[in-house]
Amino acid sequence: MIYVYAISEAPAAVEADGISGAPARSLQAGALAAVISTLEEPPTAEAPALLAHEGVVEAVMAAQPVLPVQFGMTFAEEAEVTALLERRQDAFGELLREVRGCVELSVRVRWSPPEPAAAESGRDYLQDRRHERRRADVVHQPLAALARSSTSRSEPGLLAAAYLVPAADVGPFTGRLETIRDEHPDLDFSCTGPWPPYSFVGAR
Amino acid sequence: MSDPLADKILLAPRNPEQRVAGNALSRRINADPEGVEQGLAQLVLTIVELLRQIMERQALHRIDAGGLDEAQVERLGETFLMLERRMQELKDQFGLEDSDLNLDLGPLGRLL
Amino acid sequence: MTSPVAASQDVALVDLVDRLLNGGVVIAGDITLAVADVDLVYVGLRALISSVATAEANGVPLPR
Repeated sequence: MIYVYAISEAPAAVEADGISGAPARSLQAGALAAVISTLEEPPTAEAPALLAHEGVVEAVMAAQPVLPVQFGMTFAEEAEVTALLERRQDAFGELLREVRGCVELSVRVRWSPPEPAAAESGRDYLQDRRHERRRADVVHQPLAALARSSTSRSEPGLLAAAYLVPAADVGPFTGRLETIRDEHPDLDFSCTGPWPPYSFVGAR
Repeated sequence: MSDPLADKILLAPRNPEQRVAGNALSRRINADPEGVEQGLAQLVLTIVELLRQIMERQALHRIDAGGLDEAQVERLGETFLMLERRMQELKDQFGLEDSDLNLDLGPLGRLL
Repeated sequence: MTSPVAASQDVALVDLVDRLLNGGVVIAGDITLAVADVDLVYVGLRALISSVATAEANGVPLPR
């Protein structure tokens, strides 16, 4: 079976081993290329396979714009993959333009949320939620301003955000993040990356 | 395993990350045996109706955009006509009204 | 319970797994809905399914 790690511009020169040590190779369809391996069976979502998948995507990203594919995408044969690339070439081309030169940074911010039981009325509850949302925005908005694109979700006590940032701007971005962290000692920040742009290619 | 990810930490948290278990939501399916078949028909027909509406909208867009020839437009129209008739037959068969197919998804609003 | 170093590694792992399993392009399980030989609607079925799972995990009530 054919396993797909990523979609990129043709030709996708990749020299990396993927899942179960199967070498990754490029499968071209027009202006696009899928980065694939031949596997005996579908991989299970465990650390070695996940890390191998990520390794291939990052190897491609080192050289050219890449659309990371969700883990686990398998096909019976190459012809299905090329048909897919042809059918969606405009959409994929557009996405590649959007992520060109960019990486994804993940930011998580945690704080102690108000006790839900403390809200005595529906109105109190909504005010708590509005307050939570504002706490999240105070952190998210200045970072989003530095990014080409961003996503965020917040729950009580957590902001989880992703930022699409030109690779050269990662330093200034983390610098800004550290400044914001220093301004909010009641918040616990973490930032990971650079990642391939998983959150900006349409899965969610 | 941790080594390849060590250089991905740009800012480390003070406190350990806690895995939040997703809220397990019990799906409320009508367990009444007599109702099950109708309940499933309701669900399936709702989805079919939703797709039919999406496709009809798309067809109208395509026709307006002018990318189809007369024969294609005619075939589209006929197909939707047949789909509509078939949907009505199925609704009659299962004793469902249009309002039965408009499911309430709470915060996501009504399906149709 | 966990050292700061292990906690950091956890956060990178959480972010990686979240991206690999919930992010990225969904390409297997695509459906193109055609009516009368005209391709009309493209449906990313896996994306639809994972959206349902995300809705459930966030407590969104699904139809009875």
